[in-house]
Amino acid sequence: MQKFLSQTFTFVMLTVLMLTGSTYITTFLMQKRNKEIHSLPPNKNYIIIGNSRPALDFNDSLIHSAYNFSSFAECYFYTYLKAEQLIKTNKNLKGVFLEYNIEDIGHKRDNWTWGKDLMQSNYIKYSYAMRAYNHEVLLKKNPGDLFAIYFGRTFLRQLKNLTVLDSTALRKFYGGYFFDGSSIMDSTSNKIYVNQKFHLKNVSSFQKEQLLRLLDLFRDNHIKVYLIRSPLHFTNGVQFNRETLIGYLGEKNKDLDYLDFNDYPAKLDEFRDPWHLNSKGARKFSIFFNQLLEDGLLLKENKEQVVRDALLALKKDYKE
Amino acid sequence: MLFNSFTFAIFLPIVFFLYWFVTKGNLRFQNILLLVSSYFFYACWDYRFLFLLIFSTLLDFFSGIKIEEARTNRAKTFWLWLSIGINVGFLGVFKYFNFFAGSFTEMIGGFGFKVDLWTLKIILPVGISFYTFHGLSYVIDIYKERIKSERDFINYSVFVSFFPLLVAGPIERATHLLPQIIKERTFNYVRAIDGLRQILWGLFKKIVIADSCADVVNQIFNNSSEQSGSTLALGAVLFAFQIYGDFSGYSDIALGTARLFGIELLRNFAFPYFSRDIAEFWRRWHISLSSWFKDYLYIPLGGSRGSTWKKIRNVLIVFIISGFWHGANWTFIIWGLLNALYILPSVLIKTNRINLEIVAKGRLLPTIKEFGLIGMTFGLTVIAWIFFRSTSVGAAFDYLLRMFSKSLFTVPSEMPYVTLLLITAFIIIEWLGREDQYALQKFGFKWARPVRWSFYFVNVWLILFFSGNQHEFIYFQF
Repeated sequence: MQKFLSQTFTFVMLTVLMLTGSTYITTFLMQKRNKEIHSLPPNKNYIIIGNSRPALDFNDSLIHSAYNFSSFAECYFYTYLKAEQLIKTNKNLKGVFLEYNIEDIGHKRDNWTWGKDLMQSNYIKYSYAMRAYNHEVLLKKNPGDLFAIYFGRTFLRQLKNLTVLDSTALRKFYGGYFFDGSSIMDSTSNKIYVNQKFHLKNVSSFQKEQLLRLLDLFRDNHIKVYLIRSPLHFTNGVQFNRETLIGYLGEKNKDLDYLDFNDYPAKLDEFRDPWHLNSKGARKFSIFFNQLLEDGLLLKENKEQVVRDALLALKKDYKE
Repeated sequence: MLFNSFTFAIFLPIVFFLYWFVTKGNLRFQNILLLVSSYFFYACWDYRFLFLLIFSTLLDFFSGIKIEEARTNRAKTFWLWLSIGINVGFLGVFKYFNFFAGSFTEMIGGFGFKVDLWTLKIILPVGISFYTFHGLSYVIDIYKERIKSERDFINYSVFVSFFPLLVAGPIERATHLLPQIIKERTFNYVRAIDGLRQILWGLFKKIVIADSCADVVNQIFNNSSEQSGSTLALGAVLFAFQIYGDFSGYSDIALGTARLFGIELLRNFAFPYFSRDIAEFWRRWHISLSSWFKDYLYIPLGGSRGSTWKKIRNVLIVFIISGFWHGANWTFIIWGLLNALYILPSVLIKTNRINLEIVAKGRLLPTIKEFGLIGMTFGLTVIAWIFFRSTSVGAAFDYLLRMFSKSLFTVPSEMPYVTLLLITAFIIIEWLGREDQYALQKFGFKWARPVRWSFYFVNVWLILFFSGNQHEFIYFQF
């Protein structure tokens, strides 16, 4: 028995050491490439962050002062890690446009955080930037898959990032505007999505906490936050207004600007699906957004009203 | 609790530690521990069905005693049929009720009548087909006076519920397993290491081979109407590897786990895809089920003795019931029927027992003839697997028609290079280890330890790498 235990123990320890060691080395090397991934172009000092919605809606080649760092299926838990790196790398960062809608603090985002598939895609991106807190959360919620991802996938993915990808491809891996020319806004998809309602009981205290952490991080670093809601298709009715949404963020954040583009009047063929614009829609919307910025939106006293007025004016030109 | 889950990776070492260190070799305590752990293992899936398992165990335990104690043949037969009736009844209700109700409604509908039969929202208790067959073999063996009844309920319960085999076999026999449960067990280093190696190989088969095939297979089978013939052929071949990796992987983990506790389970797979004819395939595929049907159905029916018609009847009955055992769907029945048709000619001309040894024994490579026979047998099984995998008989025929079209000779639209590479490596290792119990048993034994351990390390790494993509074991549904 002793021989069995010692041999098994030795093999397990050697395996763990080799896996941890190799992952540790690539993690260390990834940290060295952090600047390449997160540095802003010299003419831009605003960032847009969030999940697939801003990733598809904001074509930053048409927005002069802002860079889109949004990434598909990314929740605030991981956006926080990205934000930390962005702040560390860009001393000239003035402000951030952060996507926020009720679903972003919903229970479904818990699955984005520690559910097998999305934890995997997010973990292999951000493991190099993680702290004990992040590992503790994931370890508590889904230890089995975390082990498998850590030991099985992270090393190889980081090795690929380090050896195969050039700076542009690497940046793309971490986020950015996503060009998608497709449109699935036919009658079937309308039927599918139109009745989806969000119930307030589905707000996740964990996701809310992550958003508050993120807001604190920007505040502590004197970076102005503008919450945004990207355009939604009219059939995907938005049930919650600014007051409810800001209400969730507590007293400390009650004065945050909420730039709500939910009412943006895109045509049917400008939507990829009820939640996202396609490249055609993104182009128009980004020009509109850029114009707002160029017109000094961020310097105005009542930014929310300015956005509302601009949307109202735009609506007159759009006939569905 | 799945064998390929993190929970099981915690559960197994704990039970192992308690089994060898806390019970201090006391057989009674060891068996109680095995029983409690097995019930815990089962309850992790759904505790409500634990009562069904306990009821089935109690039924067969007391039926066994009553059969043995019965003074008249009539009483013996009564207790036997009571046990069979209730066991099969449970199986019928939980597994086949909706199938029969649905088929009856469809049949009546075919004659223009509209019958609105109610169906039940029944959850199939995991492992029911397996533990029911355990129990049946036990009472039948007592009835046939092959064994004595077990008078210790704990021992008997461990025989039925031993966690490595509880949910997907192998289907054990009382004559093989019960004596091991009753006998004192001592730790054996060689056997335990062998067990770990077999678990490693089982996990590799399940996670690396089966699960990576599963995604491609699902993609192809779910969109079969849009695929070319070659892509469909690829999907069918990959499914053959998926189901083999999945089920034989499960069996390897079960056998390896049992070995850690000093228990040898029946071998369930013996490199079936290296078979040279269908009869050999069925001696190598799901051996515990095939031999169960042979011993408890085929031979009592008369086996290969008697008139030609009787031989045909017996083969058809066994294969159709075997198909039906897999699930309440016509696809499984057709799968069984197809296999019966494959095997019948060799049974009738008595060539079904010519390939008893593993192919190319003592040689590195097979002859061209052997290679051709292996390919042909594999091709036939792949065609049968299409029925097994399809959701309906119509879908299966449609799949076959599309597969055997002109586009069969085009390049498949799906080309999962990584999966194909893994399968190639897998076939090579399986081929090299085909004379052993499982491929990895003596693989690399002549290598220096660091090299051998590096090989195992690569296996572990691949398992972890692919484990983000897990699928449930296919045979859990049976």
